[in-house]
Amino acid sequence: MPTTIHTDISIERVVELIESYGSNTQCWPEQERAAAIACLKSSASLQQRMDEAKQLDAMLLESHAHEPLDEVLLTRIVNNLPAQPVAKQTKGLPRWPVAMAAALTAVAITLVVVSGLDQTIPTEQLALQEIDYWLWQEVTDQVAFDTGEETPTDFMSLL
Amino acid sequence: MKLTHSVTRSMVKHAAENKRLAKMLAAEKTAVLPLSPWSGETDHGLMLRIVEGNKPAFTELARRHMPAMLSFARRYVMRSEAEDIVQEALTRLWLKASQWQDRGSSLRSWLMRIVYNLSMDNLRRQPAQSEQAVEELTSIGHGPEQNYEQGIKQQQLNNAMQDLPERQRSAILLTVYHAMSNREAAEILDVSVDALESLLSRGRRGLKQNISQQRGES
Repeated sequence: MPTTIHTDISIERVVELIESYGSNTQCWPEQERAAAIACLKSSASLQQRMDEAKQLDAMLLESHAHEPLDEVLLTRIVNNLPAQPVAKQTKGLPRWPVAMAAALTAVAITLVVVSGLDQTIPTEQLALQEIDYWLWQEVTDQVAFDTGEETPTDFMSLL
Repeated sequence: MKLTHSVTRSMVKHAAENKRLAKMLAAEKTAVLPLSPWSGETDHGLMLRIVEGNKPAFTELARRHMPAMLSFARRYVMRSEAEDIVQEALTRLWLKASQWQDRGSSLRSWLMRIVYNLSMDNLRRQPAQSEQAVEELTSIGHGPEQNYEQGIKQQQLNNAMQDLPERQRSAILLTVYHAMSNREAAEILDVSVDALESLLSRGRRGLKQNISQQRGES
């Protein structure tokens, strides 16, 4: 992420930086650091605030001692480590080709199902079938399906 | 016999000096420990080995981060609890190593965040700290080599820190004692950088007030 370096900074902002981060300028936000240090050098009141912050920081750092490395605790932790969980990944098979194959299979199944459902007969075709059926009844005066007779395809020959 | 008696008397008389020497010896002992073959490896490199179940790599990583983790946890809970928290955090690192991804945030802040969350869970379970616990927490940093005046100052500072609201105290601990950047500290406390700045500013102001109050009382 690119960092915008500020070249201009107000005295109020430098005061905020001192009051928040203390006298260690290395802890100040990187993008404001250079401008803040330059501003600090030119202001006596800021330097006074900086001296106060230094006193507090010195007290804090003097009071702090990092714990030494506890070898006994380290040994205890290492000796009590549980077994690491086995990775769920299928051995020998990288994950992405398996996922890809599964996805393709799913898409294919979906296409087959959808195309099967979509076999609807168009309305015009239905209407024509109705007329054919009516004409056939008119001519033979019986329902073709009742007799089981084969439906002639050429109606004109029957007239 | 006479000599032994004299030595014992001397030891009692100069207990503080002996403790200091013992500490120095312990430090020397640590210093002469053989270097681990992994000591030149980066945290990221060690994590790659840990994913493969490499215990020496884990030991090296724990060796690097354990002191800071322990002293951070010790600011909230007693020693024995702090040790349990560090153990829990490092065990999680071992178990979840394969899930860790280097996305710019350091392993140190990841570990410190676990320590912080576990310490807060611990504090929530025991809202009222015992007198012994408070005494132990405010005596952190007391060394046998300190003189009386230093000891008093130390006590005042520790009391002043303990009186701060928890979030403000944590912000100061992370940035001053652990030299964390504003981004790292904000990540551990799960706040924005602006919110961290506000916590720090109020914390330092509160700390100064608490110290002058402590001095006024004494």
